[in-house]
Amino acid sequence: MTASAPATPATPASPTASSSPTASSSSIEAFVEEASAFLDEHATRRPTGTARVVWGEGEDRISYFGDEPPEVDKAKVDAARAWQRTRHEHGFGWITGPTEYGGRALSPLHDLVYDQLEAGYDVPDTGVISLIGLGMIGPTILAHAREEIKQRYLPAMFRGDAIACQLFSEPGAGSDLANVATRAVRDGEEWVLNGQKVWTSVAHHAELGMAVCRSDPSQPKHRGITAFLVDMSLPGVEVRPLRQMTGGAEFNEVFLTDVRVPDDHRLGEVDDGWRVTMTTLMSERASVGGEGAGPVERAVSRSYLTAMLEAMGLSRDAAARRRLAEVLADLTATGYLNQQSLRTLLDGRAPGPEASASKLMFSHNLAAASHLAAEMVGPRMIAETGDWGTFSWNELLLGTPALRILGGTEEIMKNIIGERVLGLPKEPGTDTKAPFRAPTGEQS
Amino acid sequence: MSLDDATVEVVRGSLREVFATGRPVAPALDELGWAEVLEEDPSIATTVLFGEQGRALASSGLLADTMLAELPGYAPGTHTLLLPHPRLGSHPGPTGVLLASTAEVVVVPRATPDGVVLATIERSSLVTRPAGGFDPGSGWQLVTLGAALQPDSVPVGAAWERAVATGRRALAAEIIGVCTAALELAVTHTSVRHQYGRPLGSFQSVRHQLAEAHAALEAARVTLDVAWSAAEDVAAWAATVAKLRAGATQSTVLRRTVQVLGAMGITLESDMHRYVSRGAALDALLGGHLRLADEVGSAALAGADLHPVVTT
Repeated sequence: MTASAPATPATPASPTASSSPTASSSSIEAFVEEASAFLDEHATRRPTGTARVVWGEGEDRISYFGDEPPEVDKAKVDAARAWQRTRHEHGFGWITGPTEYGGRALSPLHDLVYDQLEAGYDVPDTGVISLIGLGMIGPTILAHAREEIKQRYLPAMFRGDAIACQLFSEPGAGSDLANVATRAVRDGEEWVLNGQKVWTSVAHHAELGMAVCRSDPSQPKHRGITAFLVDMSLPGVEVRPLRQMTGGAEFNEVFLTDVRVPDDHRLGEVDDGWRVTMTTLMSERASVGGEGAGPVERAVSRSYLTAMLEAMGLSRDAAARRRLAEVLADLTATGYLNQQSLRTLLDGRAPGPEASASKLMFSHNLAAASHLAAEMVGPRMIAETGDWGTFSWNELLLGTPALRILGGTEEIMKNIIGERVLGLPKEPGTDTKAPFRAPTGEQS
Repeated sequence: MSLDDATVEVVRGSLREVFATGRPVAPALDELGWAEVLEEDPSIATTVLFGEQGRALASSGLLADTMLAELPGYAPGTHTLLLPHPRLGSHPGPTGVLLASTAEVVVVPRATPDGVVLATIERSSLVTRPAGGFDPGSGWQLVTLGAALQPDSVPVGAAWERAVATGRRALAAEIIGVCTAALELAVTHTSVRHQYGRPLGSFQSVRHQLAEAHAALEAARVTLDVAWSAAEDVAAWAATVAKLRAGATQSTVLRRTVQVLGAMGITLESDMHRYVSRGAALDALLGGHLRLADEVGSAALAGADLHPVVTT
């Protein structure tokens, strides 16, 4: 998962590299045929009609974040890499990407069509590669890296060989990301990086990191920042897992000690790293099109929740029925909001602050569903009694707080809505004009 | 057919003027050539019309007229429809509500074992009393039906369900209009009123509440949009979900907008109280959100899917 992001971007960037949205739309049918043939050959179609939940049957796991032992985790990442490679070899690795870096230069609609087709097949989850690396850092490299860096890393990333992570948040820079203190000091054709990053998702699997560093502490905090692409195998890069209350360890602390990064790995201009960072954050497609077929989607559904109400003997309880309807109505509305965002995207417009409403609803829904389940199963969510569909909910209940933090906390999302959608007055920042100063200074 | 964005804005502007003048709505709509607009794009036309009525806190018989249009044989203007009493949801019973309408003939629905039947009755022969209560501005009249219904009762079958669905979509639009205006009032107030040397709206405790209101409102809007595009066999169900969503939203939104207006929000000095009472009154018609939540929950348990509508 990604750490909390700051209040978004002053300058709307155009993150997704793609041809014009209408381009090649005439070839959609041929594309569907090609993609279907590819999927039929390399993957197994999911049996249809499995959506209905029969209480007590099937896997009893409801976790958003993995909490498997490291070897299982590793095997899943390997499977993800292998599937991404297969996609890439057949022209589906980077559907919207420029052809010179291994992309197909097709429209976002083609991308969407492919995702929808693939959802009908049983294939490895490639989120570990795609959410941050391909979804956010890839577009940043495309927009801000030098030509030879693009050629070196983009094909590798989209082939599944290089997983990328965001070296963004720090102990002193969470929601206030511009407060980063990790130092980047120029030394000839290299930069020397020193500092600590935290909440870094997938760092333990990553070959590459995008580091946001303080290059000039004498400038105000947004100005003296420079961004770099960091080879995670360099001496001085140390990744330590952070264990979460769910039992999993999906994110990390990353210590950078005298890490020497070549200047050609710089993203954007010196001291202009905040703009580069905005490209990354704007590329987050929020939860657009994110309707998967994972254990959470299965549990947080009409079929599962109604089966649960019946199994708990609560189907004649009016209060429980109402709670159920409210959760389902919220889920439905969120699905519609996502479809709306998707249409915005397909119309060739950048996702705007309205996506914040969608994100707020998404985390709210998972929290509401887990709380509903908690009330229904009672103490069986605390103590493992062996009853199917009861204790397993603790995984989601303990995982939902993370969803309300990652990718921009709910509070930051509400600030964005307040300022950018409703037009409320800005909160006076007390530290946006003064020099950042050295990390020894007091920064709050 | 559908109206383009520019036309919608012109229509919206004209409607806003009509409601602002406070003159009777029906003749003003005739002057605007409303029938054509409605024919061109019923979903947008109805959403905009009721949204503006909600925003203006206006009272009219439009809801009854819109429902009557689904019931063959009754002309809006000369006829109005007796709506089921709020405690009955969408089921006609011995008591009902007459909206602010000047029509002389009332179409009275009645539930029978064979479905809903309709009868007409002269308004002058009905015993009515002002509804008053929480929203004194509603102009509603409560009606208790005597035994003397006209014998010309005709069964309307599925048309009643269609009328209720139309009414629920219209009410959802009107509730959204009420909430939009209340949120705008709250944004304006908290942008200009200063405390501690800063506008109230720059404090996170205030803006977060309004952001939550906005998110709820967006969810209600999109659910209503989808309900309008629902296929005929799921239209009633989608309308129920849209009304549930809008009803729950007015509670979420108005609680917050009242709070951020401070003491002003609870006095007659500000219009905020009018949005609160109108929002609650509209929620109560054709099934309040708690009642609908119970209905939708039961239907979900019986196997109904909440989103039968494919929009892409």
